[in-house]
Amino acid sequence: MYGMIHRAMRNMVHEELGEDAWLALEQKLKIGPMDLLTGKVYGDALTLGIITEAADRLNLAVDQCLIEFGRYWIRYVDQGSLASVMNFTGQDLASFIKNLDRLHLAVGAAMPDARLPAFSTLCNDPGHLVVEYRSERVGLEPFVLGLLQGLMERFHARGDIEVLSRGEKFVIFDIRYQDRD
Amino acid sequence: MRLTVSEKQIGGLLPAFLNVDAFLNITALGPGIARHLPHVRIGMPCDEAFSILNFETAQFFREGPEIRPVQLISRVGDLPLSGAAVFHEGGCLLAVRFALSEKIFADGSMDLSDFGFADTGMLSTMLIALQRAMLEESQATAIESCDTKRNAVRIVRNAQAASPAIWRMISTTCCQ
Repeated sequence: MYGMIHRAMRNMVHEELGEDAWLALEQKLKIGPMDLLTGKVYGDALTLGIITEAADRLNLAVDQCLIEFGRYWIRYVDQGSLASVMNFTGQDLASFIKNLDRLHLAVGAAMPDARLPAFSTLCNDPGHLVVEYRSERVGLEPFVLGLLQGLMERFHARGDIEVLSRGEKFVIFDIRYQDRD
Repeated sequence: MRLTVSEKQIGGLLPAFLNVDAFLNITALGPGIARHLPHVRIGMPCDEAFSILNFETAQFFREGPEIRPVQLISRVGDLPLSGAAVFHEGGCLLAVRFALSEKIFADGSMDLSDFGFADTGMLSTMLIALQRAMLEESQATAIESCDTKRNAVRIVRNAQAASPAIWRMISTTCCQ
């Protein structure tokens, strides 16, 4: 995965446990600032190692940590230098999810080695979305669930997300929501 | 080759398109126009809603070629649009897109839905924003690395300075 993910994970650990916890994690995994470069693509084993170590320190199961990290990721990119990209991707939950592939098209142009997922909106009714997530990676379903939860928070919506079905390389999420206002 | 493309499909490719009849009345418009210029309606004369910058309205259908570059600016909101005027039997398809400025990108007044799937201008703007973010973070990483190195040097120096004293302390302790 690209280094921006590692940076976000570092920030999450910093915020939750302080800098020393992250330094201890870095020491254990023998990583440093050069493993956190936004535009560089790193092997999935390293990313998974960081997430597993962070989960351990945060006292969370890896899947739960991935959900929390998904939610954190949305807040992270929304506050940083990518905020304008986030704003430009969509102004409500449905349009944002619908435009995710277009966002990834631009990300792919900036980072040609990144293996990016695909999202299709199978149903888009008021307060109801069915979203298909496709990826060559496995095991990131909890992360995507966290991302969708984070997006609901971003757009001040509340509701439930369930998995309708899953296959080897896809998961279909059912999102029922209502705007808080 | 002749293709039949629905209004919805044209709207997907060119969300800000307009179609006008031979009298320059708007006969169809894209979802981007409906979103950002809600006062523009089907049946309205095009030049009531837009200034056509590079055509004399009266000369619009006398230009001859089938495709001409065209630039419009909305009379309300001053939104610039540019693209091609594609003349056909029933009138003209204004295959235009919103001009994407830094301001529009930053202020959130438009989003990706307002641009076509393969809109190169939109992709370039996104790419520039991503690269700018990466540059900022690379700079932050460089500063961090520099700070870490400086701290490490300071620790080594302090250790070197303190070592005679520590050595004396150890010797004294051992001799007692």
